[in-house]
Amino acid sequence: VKSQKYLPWFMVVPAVAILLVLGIYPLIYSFRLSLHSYSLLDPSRGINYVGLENFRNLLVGKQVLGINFSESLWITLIFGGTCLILEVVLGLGGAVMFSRKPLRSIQFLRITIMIPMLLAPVVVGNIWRYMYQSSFGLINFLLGIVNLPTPEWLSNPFWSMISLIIADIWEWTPFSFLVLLAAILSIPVGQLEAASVDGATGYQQFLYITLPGITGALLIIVLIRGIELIRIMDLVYILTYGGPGVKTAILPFNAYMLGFKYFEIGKAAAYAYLMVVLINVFIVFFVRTLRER
Amino acid sequence: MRYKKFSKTKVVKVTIFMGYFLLVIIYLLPFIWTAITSVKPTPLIFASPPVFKFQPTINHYVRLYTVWDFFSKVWNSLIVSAGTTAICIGVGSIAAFSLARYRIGKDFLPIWILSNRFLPPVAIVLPLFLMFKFANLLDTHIALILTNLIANVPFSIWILRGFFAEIPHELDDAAKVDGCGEFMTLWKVIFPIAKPAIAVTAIFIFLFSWNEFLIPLALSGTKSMLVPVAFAAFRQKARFDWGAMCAAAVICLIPLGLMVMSLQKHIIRGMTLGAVKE
Repeated sequence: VKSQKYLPWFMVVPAVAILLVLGIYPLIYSFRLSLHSYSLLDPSRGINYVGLENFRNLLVGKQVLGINFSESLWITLIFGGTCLILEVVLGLGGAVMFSRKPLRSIQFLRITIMIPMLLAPVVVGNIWRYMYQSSFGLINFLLGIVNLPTPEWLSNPFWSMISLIIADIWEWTPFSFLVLLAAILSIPVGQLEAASVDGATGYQQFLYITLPGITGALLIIVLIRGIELIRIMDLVYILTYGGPGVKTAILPFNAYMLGFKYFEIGKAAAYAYLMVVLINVFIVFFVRTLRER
Repeated sequence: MRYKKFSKTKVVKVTIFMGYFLLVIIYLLPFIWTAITSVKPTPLIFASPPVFKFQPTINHYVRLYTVWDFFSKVWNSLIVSAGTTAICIGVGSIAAFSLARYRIGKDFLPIWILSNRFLPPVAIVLPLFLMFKFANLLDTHIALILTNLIANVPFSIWILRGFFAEIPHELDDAAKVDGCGEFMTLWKVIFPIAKPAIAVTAIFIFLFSWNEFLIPLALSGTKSMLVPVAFAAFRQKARFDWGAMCAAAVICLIPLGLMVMSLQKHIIRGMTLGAVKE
């Protein structure tokens, strides 16, 4: 029957319709906005078509909210890159460590470390903000006990970035740790035993058996976390609010501020659009390297 | 030789044990500290060095209700998350069933669906704001439920597609021979088998939608404010209300702990959108 043939297609229609209306249409709408000069605070200015001027201004380095696009991109890459590298390295270290001797009590640790990544980033941010307080915070209290320097975590230009990175690593290393642990444990034990019988050292076993066995998991972690680190600003909004000054003003944070604090709709849309392009470049680059393997 | 080997494994054992302990401390301490502060009298919160001996108080929890009106935000979040979950499971399971059984749209359709999950919220929040303003839906639960669908419908489709694909074809073929249509098969055969999988997916969607921050921040006002937005508001007052913040965090943590325990076998699968299974 003809209607039977098309039924599988009809079954995806509701989902596709939702995504078209709420995902794709806004994306197109946003592009149209980005070609206009439009301020919600000053409606008398009207909505004027300005072509690609908003994009040009961003790319030639005109400052927006006291920082130009490329500087903010650099901050984003430093923040995202450092978090990503450390999360993968620490997660891998932990996974290798705990895969050697399966502890019976690892169950408790697993549940404990799962909580931060499923807790709202806003709550995580607030808890860390409280611990980072320089005079009555827990971290400086503990550092004081062991006679280490007690910096002004959130108001010092250098330490504010470190604060963000530490909080993000705390929240998301469990993700890479658990994914990699699952990947390592799924490598057949026989392979490692055979290598060990053949006289391979622990290091060689890791390099030639474990690592190839977890490449897929590693790539997934880098892809998912890489995208999340570029697109989400929750932690920055709560912990440093882009500050001090604009020292931690990552791209999504600026785009949000431009739109919802200064209501420069056209400029904000252009800003966010460049971000989308950037994320796509990251994905295409990444998927291409994936394909080559 | 034998002695050397013995000592090496012992070193490894001790290192693992210490690493285990260190991790538990690093991950539990912030929560313990938060829980302690939530029952600490306000003046003592600002004491340096911290005070650990005090008469516990429930003032912060009371203030959450009287000053911050936090529980109406919890209610809003419950409505929005429940609504999002219901729609995502409904729409998602039908689409997932079709994708799992018929491979329509080849690889393109599922990947296009997935790509919506990774849309940066800042890239769509402005148009969504203007769209909902036009539709007169700003500051309503409906608007927040609809915006939560963008990331969660793709999630439900991908996760459920994976779960459904694991159910043998023979079962629905048998149902079809007995005269069941597609929807009947889904309802009578797939759903009962996939009940645990659907429950897991639903809990994930509930949590993701509970945690959503940026779009609700832009689209909600006083009437529909959600829990994460309320958390951001603790910071705006001249003096930060740490006690109330910690009490609110504890209120969020307790149900979360229970949900995590129910999810733990599937957590990897959920967080990687089905790419890595345990």
